[in-house]
Amino acid sequence: MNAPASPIRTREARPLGTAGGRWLVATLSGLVAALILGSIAVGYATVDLPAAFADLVAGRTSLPALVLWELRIPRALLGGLVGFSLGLTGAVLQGYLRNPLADPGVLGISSAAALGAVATFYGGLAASLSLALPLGGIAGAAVAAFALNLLAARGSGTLGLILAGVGLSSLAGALTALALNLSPNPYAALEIVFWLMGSLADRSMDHVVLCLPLMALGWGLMLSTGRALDALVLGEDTATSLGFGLVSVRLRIVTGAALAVGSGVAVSGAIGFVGLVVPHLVRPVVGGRPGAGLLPSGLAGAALVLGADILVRLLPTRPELKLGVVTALVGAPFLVGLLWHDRTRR
Amino acid sequence: MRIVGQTLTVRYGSRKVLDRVGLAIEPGELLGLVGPNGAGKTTLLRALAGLTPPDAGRVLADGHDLAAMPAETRARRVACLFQAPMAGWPLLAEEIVALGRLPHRHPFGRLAQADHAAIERAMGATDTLHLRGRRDTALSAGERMRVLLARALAVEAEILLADEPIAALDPGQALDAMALLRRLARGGTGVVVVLHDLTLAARFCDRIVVLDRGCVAAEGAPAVALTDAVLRDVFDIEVVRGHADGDAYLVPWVRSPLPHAPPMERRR
Repeated sequence: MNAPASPIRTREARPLGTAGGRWLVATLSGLVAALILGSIAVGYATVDLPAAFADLVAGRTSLPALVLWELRIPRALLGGLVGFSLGLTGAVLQGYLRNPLADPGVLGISSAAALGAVATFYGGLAASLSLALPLGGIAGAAVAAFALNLLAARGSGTLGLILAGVGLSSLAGALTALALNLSPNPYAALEIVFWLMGSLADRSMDHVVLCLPLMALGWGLMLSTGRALDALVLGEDTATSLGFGLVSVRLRIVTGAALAVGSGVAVSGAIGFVGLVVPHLVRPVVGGRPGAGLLPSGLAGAALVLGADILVRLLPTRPELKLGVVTALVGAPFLVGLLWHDRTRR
Repeated sequence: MRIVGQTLTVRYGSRKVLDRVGLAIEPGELLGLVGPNGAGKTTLLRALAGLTPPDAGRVLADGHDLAAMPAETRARRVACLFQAPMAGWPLLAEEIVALGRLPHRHPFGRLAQADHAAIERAMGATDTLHLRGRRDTALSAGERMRVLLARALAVEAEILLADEPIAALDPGQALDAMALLRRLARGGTGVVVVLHDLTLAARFCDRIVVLDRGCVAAEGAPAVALTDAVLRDVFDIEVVRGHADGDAYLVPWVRSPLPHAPPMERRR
């Protein structure tokens, strides 16, 4: 029955290593660069881009230069940063939890970050201080990461970590709902709901400066686990026997995910499905080795978020569609299709 | 390298899984670990690999505490093959075998020539070269078992600890695998293999350790360890013995006749 495998699966071995992966990384890097430029070019105000760039470089504070520096460039950069974080975290968590349905929200960090941001909304801090919102989000993610790390350091297993994440998600979700419930006026509630849907509109360079170092640190921590994720394909015992300390791996992943996703949610709200879908998109090209999918997943995530963010600005809907709505609209059918494909294959 | 477990005791909760077990792994020796299910074989293997810290006793590697050895060094010197479900990602068989080279590689370094050679040797020895481009999801149970054995061989360690490496193999492949493990031992590697097949254990192993309820019930050359009395006492079986090619063999034949309780209930 299973002896003559289908020709697709028995294709001749490509050389070991990541030839396909490197090609993909190069292509995706080019795509992300192009999309960042595209994202800078697309907007509501008509701007003479070359002139704006010239003004910016020369240090002239003309209106086009201001639009570029205060609106377009931060928005494009954040799209790339948040997308990369979501894609990379999704790939790392799928590899670590050995589960194709894991996503950056599975540990409860996104929900906690959202709760933190909502709390600053609710407390009225957001109105008085422009960075209060992202700072609140980061604080929420930090609390969640601290709780998860306590658990992980005690050597609690993978399942314990997932269950803790589910618990944390529900708790943060319930508290967010409570904040909406007790909201002093309907406009505040509406504002919170809109913010939760995720958007990159009207973010400033301050947001970039705030989240970039946190994300870079998180990316470093997560990328450093690539080898261990490969070994974990063989199970936790074998990974340990290959010299990988699982507690250290767990701490790096939880901390890295909290830094990257927490600061991402803090500046952009919740953008769903990117982290879930992207690892599945790159897997056919880079193969099943989890470590080989990390960098491509991050880049593909960046491309996806940048593309979606360009799309919401090109669509005639006003006010523009929320980013989280668009990615989920694209992502949910994909997820169903994936499950369908898996069923028919077995 | 010589690994010695001294008075190893491991508890899971209040249950003693290993009770003061002593065991030495010599270079160049194929050591068979047999015993009924739940006797503590896998736990003993994990303890010898340094994965389960014993509650009492210690594991020495060349006279030094194994627990004090850096994980990377231990990973290069002791290879393990455990029974674990694969993650289900579509890795190529060759990529799985290449995972055995992880302890030898620099962080972020690529596979070196020596790594490729080791992968080639391991896949050649386990007759899996023709599977190299096949995805894990398209391997049969026996093929996957041999690929995983190749993965463990690719480490090229001084000690190999294997938990039921022939469980999913057909009779011909099982004979091949046992012959391979013996060849490996003749080459100087210390090999410990957990087996349920007493016939193959007696035929191929240099030394047998019989584990029963966390204790060593018998130890020695197959003829010394697997006596009728031991087999009756530990496994509740009677064996048929004979000679072939000048070697003694044994085949499990019937449950031991029991004066008191029915066989299924007696052991619990």
